[in-house]
Amino acid sequence: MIWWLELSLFGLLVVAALIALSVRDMIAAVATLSVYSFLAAVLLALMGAVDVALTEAALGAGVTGVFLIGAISVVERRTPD
Amino acid sequence: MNDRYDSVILHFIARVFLVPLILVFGVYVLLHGELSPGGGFQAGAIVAAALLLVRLALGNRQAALRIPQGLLIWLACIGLGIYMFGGILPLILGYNFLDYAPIPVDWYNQFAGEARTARSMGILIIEIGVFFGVAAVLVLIYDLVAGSSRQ
Repeated sequence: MIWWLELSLFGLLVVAALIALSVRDMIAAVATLSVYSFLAAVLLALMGAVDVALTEAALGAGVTGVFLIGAISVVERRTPD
Repeated sequence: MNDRYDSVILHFIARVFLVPLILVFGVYVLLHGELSPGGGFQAGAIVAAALLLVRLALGNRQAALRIPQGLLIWLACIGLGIYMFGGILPLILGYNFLDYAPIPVDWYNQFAGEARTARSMGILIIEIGVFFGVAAVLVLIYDLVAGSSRQ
């Protein structure tokens, strides 16, 4: 339908995934992973799966980020690799 | 995240604006689950996200809406009990497991002035059970991971 919007969102999805893999700071990695989940939710809503998009936005972009930040506060923040 | 970060803007936005809005939206998603997108699992995740947001913004000790861990376990078990009640009630009335057809809704329609069918009432009972289970377990996981790790 809006093919250029879906294509640009998919490009941003790949860029967000690569940034989340390559960044050193763990908090920045968690934030980028939340951006990835939100873009995936927008793509799912554009495809018509609103129920799956609601679950992805609530769990992937919201609760998972909070859980990962809670885990980072226990271990060290910067990673050598 | 165990300490309180003193920012007036953060506290005002989290306590006055965001958390009540997210809680009302979660209840809306729960109660309209059988008609529109949403349901018990999504509503439970949204309400748990509101409770986690107030814990993140205000710190674990000063946060409002703190629930003891034993009560959270009881809430999850009560959700499972509601689900099992919605499944076994048709079994008692002589139908299959989770078959919502014999659920009596006439008294509710006369009381509330609505025209609900038995199947939508059955789905609503199931989703209320799922809601309590998911919300209680997500908040319990956060409290166990981040709440008491560093005293």
